Amino acid sequence: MTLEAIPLSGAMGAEVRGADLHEVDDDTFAEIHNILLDHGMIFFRDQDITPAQQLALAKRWGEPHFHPYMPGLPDHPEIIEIVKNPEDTNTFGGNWHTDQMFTPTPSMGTMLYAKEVPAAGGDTMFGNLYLAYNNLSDGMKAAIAELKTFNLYDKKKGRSATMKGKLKEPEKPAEPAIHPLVRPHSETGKPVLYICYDRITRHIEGMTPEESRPLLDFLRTHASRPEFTCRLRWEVGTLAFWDNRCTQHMALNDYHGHRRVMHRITIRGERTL
Amino acid sequence: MTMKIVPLSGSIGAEIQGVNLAKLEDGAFAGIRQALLDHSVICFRDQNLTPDEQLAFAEQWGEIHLHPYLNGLPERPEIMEIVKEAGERNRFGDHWHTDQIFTPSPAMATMLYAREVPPVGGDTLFASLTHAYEALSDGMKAMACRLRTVNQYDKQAPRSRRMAEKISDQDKPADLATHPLVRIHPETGNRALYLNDMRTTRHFDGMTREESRPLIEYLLQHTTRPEFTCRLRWELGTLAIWDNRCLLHMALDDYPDHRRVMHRITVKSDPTIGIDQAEAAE
Repeated sequence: MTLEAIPLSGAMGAEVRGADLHEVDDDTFAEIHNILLDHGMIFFRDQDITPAQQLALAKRWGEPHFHPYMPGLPDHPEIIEIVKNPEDTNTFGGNWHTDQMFTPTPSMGTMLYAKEVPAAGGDTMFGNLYLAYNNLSDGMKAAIAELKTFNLYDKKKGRSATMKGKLKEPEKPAEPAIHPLVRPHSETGKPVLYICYDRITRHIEGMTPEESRPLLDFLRTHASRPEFTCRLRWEVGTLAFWDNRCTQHMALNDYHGHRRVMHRITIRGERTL
Repeated sequence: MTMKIVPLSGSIGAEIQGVNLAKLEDGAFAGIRQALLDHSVICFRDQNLTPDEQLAFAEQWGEIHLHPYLNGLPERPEIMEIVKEAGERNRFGDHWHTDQIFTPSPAMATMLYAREVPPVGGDTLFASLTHAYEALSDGMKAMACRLRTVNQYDKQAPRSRRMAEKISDQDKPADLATHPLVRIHPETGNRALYLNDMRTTRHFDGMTREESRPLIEYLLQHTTRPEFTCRLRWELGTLAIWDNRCLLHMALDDYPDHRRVMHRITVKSDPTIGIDQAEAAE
C-alpha cells in the first residue's frame, strides 16, 4: 500500500491518504512514521475504528501515557475522553502548549480521534517549533542555548465543569519539571524551541518570573506566528497524531452551545535532560 | 573649611558642602573623587565659576571629551551649552540614558553647571545601574553577562531647533559602538548594567531589534525603579558631576514657560570592560 501525504500548510501538517487503520503492518507504520517526522502532525479522514483498534495503533508509537492528573475511560484507562458540553465555557487545551510539558518525561506524541464534532468550530491549531527556533537570530540562539525552563501544571486554572470533575487530587500541589528551552528532537536531532503558555512554563530556571516574562512572552509570540502554523478542521472520524517533541497546539473555543467529544491517547516520551 | 557629604537618597547621590571649586584646597580633590565613587553623583551648591574655572576643575578628572556630533561653545569647544528657551520643548536628554554610550569609549563623567534655572522644574533624575545589576537574579545575571549591545547615536531624534543646529554632519550616519551589557567599573570593580533605551541601544549583538526589545525594555524598567534613583533639584550655581559608568539620568521637561541654561563638560574614559575581558586579564 502506498500512502499519500498531502501538506496542510507551508509550515507543517499533512493528511495521510491510503491507510487502513484497522490493522497497520510494519512497513505501513514505518511509512506513516516518516511522514510524521517530516510534517510534525498527520491526520486521517473518515476512520471508523474501535477504542481497542485506536489503542493498538497508538501503541505502535510507544507506551501509552497515563495523565498524572486526569483519569481515562473506565474500560480503556489509556484513553482520555475530552468532552466539551454545550453549557461548558472553557476549552481543554485552549492555549498554545505541547502535551505534558509539566512532567520530566513529556509525551512523545498525542493521538486525537474525533467522535462528536460541532457543525463548525473547534478546530485545532498546530505550530512548528523547529521553524520557531530556526527563525531566531544567531544572537538569540546563543543567548538561550543554555537556558532551562521551570514548568508546573496549574490545577487551579479555569476548566469546564466537565473537565474539572476529572481532576485527580485537586488540592495536592503538582510536581514541577525542568526542561531545556532549546531541545534537540530525539529522532531528527534538530533543535526545537520548547516552550508552553505561561500557566505551564512559569519562568526560566534561576530567574524570577518578572525577569523571565519579557523573554518568554517574546518567544511565545514568536513561536505562534501564523507562518509557522497549520489549522486542522475536524470531522467525525478524523484521527490525528502529532509529535509533541517539535510542535505545539491549541484547541479553539469558538463553538459555544455545541458538544464535542474526542478520544485522546498520549504516548510516553523520554527525559529531556 | 571642612568638606561635608550629605546623601541625597538611600541609594545614590550626595551633596558636598564646604567646598569652593574655584579655589580647591590641596588634597581636597582626592576626597571629592572618592565621594563620586561612593555616591555616583555629587553636587556642589552656590558655586561661582568662570568657564575657565569650570574647565580647570573638569580637567582634574581626566581628559576632556569632545562630543562627536554636537558642537561646543565657539571660544571653549570643551564646554557645550545646553539651552532651552521659554516656550520651547526640551528634548535634550529627556529620556533615561548614560552619556555617549554610542562611542567606543563613552564619557567617564559628565559635569553640568547651572547658569540659568527656572523657578521650579527642570530637575535631573539619576538611576543606579550598579544597584540594578545587583538586584537581578543569578540566572539573569549569568545571561546578561554574556550579551553585548550595539549602540548608535540617533541624529534624527526630535530635538529643539536650537540643539538640532548644533549637530555636525547631519546626513552622515553615526558610527556603531558595541559594549558589554554588564560592564565592570574600572575604579570600584563593581559590575553594572550598561544600556540606554532603544533610540540608542539599538539591539543586542547578533539579535534583531524585535528579539532584543523585551529584555532591553525590561532591564530599563527595572533599573529605573524608584528605589535605585535620586532626584537633583538645580539652583543657580549648582554644579553636579556624575559617573556615567554606573548611572542613567534624564532631564525633566516640566518647565515649558522658562529658560534654562547649563554648561556641560564630559570627561573621557577608557573603553568599556565586560566580564570576559576582565577574566582574560586576570
